[in-house]
Amino acid sequence: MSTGLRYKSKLATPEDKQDIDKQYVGFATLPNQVHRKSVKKGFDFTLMVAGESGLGKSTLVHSLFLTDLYKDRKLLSAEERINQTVEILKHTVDIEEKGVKLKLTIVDTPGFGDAVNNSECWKPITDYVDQQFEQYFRDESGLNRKNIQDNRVHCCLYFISPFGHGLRPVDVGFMKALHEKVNIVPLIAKADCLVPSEIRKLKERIREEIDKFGIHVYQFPECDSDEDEDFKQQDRELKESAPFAVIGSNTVVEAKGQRVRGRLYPWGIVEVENQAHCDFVKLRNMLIRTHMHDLKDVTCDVHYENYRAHCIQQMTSKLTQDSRMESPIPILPLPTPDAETEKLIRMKDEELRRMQEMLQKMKQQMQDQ
Amino acid sequence: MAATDLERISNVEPESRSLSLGGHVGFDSLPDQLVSKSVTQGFSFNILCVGETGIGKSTLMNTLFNTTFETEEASHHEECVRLRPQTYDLQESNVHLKLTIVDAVGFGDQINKDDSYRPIVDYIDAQFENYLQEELKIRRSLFDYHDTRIHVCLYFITPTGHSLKSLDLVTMKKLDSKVNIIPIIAKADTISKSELHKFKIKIMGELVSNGVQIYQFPTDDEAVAEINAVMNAHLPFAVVGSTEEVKVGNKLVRARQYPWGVVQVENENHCDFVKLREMLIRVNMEDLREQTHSRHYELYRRCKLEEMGFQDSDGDSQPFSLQETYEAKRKEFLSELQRKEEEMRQMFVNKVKETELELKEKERELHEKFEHLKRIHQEEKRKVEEKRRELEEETKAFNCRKAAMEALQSQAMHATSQQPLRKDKDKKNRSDIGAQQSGMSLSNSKVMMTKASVEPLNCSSWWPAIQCCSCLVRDATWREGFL
Repeated sequence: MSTGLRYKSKLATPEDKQDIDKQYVGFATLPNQVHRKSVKKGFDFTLMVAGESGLGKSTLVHSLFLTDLYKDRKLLSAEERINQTVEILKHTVDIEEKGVKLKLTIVDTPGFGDAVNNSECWKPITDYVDQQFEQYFRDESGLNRKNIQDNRVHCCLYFISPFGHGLRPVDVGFMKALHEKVNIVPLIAKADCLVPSEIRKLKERIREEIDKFGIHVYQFPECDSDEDEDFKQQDRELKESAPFAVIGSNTVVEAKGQRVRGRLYPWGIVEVENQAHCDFVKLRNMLIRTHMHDLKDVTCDVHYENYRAHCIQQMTSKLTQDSRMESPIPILPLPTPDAETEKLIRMKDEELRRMQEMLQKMKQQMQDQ
Repeated sequence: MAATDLERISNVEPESRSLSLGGHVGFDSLPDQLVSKSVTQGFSFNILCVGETGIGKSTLMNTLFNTTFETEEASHHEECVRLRPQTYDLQESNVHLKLTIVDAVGFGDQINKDDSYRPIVDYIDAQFENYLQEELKIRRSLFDYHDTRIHVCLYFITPTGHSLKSLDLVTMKKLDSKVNIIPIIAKADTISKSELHKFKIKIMGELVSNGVQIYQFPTDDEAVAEINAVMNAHLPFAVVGSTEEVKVGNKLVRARQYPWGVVQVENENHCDFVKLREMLIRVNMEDLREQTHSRHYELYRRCKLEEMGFQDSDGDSQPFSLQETYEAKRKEFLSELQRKEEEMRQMFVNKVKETELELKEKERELHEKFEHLKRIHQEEKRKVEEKRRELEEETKAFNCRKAAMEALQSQAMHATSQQPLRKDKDKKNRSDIGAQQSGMSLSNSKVMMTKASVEPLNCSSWWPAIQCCSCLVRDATWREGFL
């Protein structure tokens, strides 16, 4: 992949070193230094997967990271799930590739959308995300900031069921509750039940509904104008295929003499890594190979800062309510009580006038008599 | 006599002898007569499709009956579940079928699905109720009646691969005593063979452990017993529906074209569509209707009539006549109605009385207030009159005193200026005397003064007061007198 080489600059060869010494300042090696340091430090990434049971979340995570995180999990039967509540499960693995270490945390949400009554079933998830933000905020404001653990959720893969005509109310509810807190990447799960024309229609439908309901999913950043054409083309294709229609598999089958990861059907073999079959490769590239750091940046710069600003505002407004001291935030003036008393006065005036009129009338009557 | 006859007949029945015929009588055409009659009558069949939106209910119906039923795509954002029945007339060879397809629109879409099953159960009960009403009529036409009772419910299970959803379990439990349920795994081209096997076992296990009674294909009829038994083992059927045709080999078949292969709807290796069609339409349609009538409808009827208070006759007592019980119930009901009417009337009359009393009270109070105010006014008037009188008296007294003082003063003046004023003094004496006597034949000035209006004077004594025009000069007559 050409992307890996983007950030490596050309190192000076020893021959023209003398010439280079004269004109060469040397900060062109900064990317290398960053690269070295980051390899030493290691990376961390927190990924959340959410969606109804049976949409293939664990299988996809397995296919993405080629590790089995769910060795012995117990699947609940239908009657146990009638009143199921949502849990939050965290699995952390340390994986390494070519010297680069990655601490990967997968946050799973079993029980989401399983119960018969799913009102506010996304509340435990929003609480968890807020909790992570709060902890980071506290750590950041603390005195000893050397080893802050970043547990904030960097990306949320939301699995949309392919069996419907688009987004369901529970999907809309979840995404609206979380779109300002976490990068949401919507996926169409189990895409092997849709023919290509159906996939296109469903993607369009979902894009329309996302616009209609005002949901802010993760937007891929624009590429600079000085990138090469290939990269621009790739970027365009990526943007056009959102939401990704994915298929996951943790079994290896034999197709055309090769062993590939796929699903074996009587009518054919679905290859997970075949671009013509599904968008798994695009998702993997986007998530891991090109946009992982951007996801982290957006989480730090946008979502976390929003949370932080909101938190601080709440704290200062609470202070002004409690101590009533001068604050930079202006307090709204109370409505004057005079308005009320004026009204009362007016009413009483009216009454008095009426009574006077009555008395006059009575006087008249008596005089007539 | 009647009793002994009965006895003889009841003794004879269990030992009915079978006789052999000597020749061809011809009653073997009875089934044919029945068949030809029912063919001319036409058949009706009602299917209820329950499943999530987009799971493939309409497509499967189109595929099953090899036609296109006009329905629009449902939205996911319905407020609640509603049932949409649509009736079609189909004909194959010379057999007419009145097919009603009832769709549960919006099922499984809401966030709170606690009440999802209720509209469905209500609809089924309503159809039973209609039939019951028709049966209980005096003039009824059951042979002509368009039977809308649901004969079969196709329950579409989402192919998650794990197990049933909680909503599925809850709904099927509510429906199993009212309708024949055939569970179907929809969109089965998303599950591979091994997963499918496990999934089916899991589903059937869950249904059995929760006591859900799904429809079992009948195995008592010899002709179809074998095939039905085999099919029972394949429940729930994993189906794929499609109305598009794809060229496979040199034929056009109904299939779904994927980049990795073609799923043929009518290929037994690919899905169980053929099995479903066999079972549902070709083999057991009549049995489904019969089951609906003899089992589910009878259960409903029994519950309903028991509710209404009817009871079956037991051996000893007289059989209740439906008519009599009905009449009794009716009378009771009417009397109840009348009683309620009386009650309401009474309540109304009471209320009217109450409000009348209230209003009268208020009127009385108002009168009282009026009287009270009148009295106060009178009081005030009287007081004012009194004060006026007092004031008048005071002014008179004051005037008298003033006149007296004037007389004294004028005397004093006369004493000082003796002769020229003697006449005046005499005059004044005479006038003094006059004043004392009558108070009216005084000198002009004094007369004028008494006639002048009584005003509060801001001068200390009357002499400077007379000089002071601004205080006293008011009347034109007075001025003339002074001058």
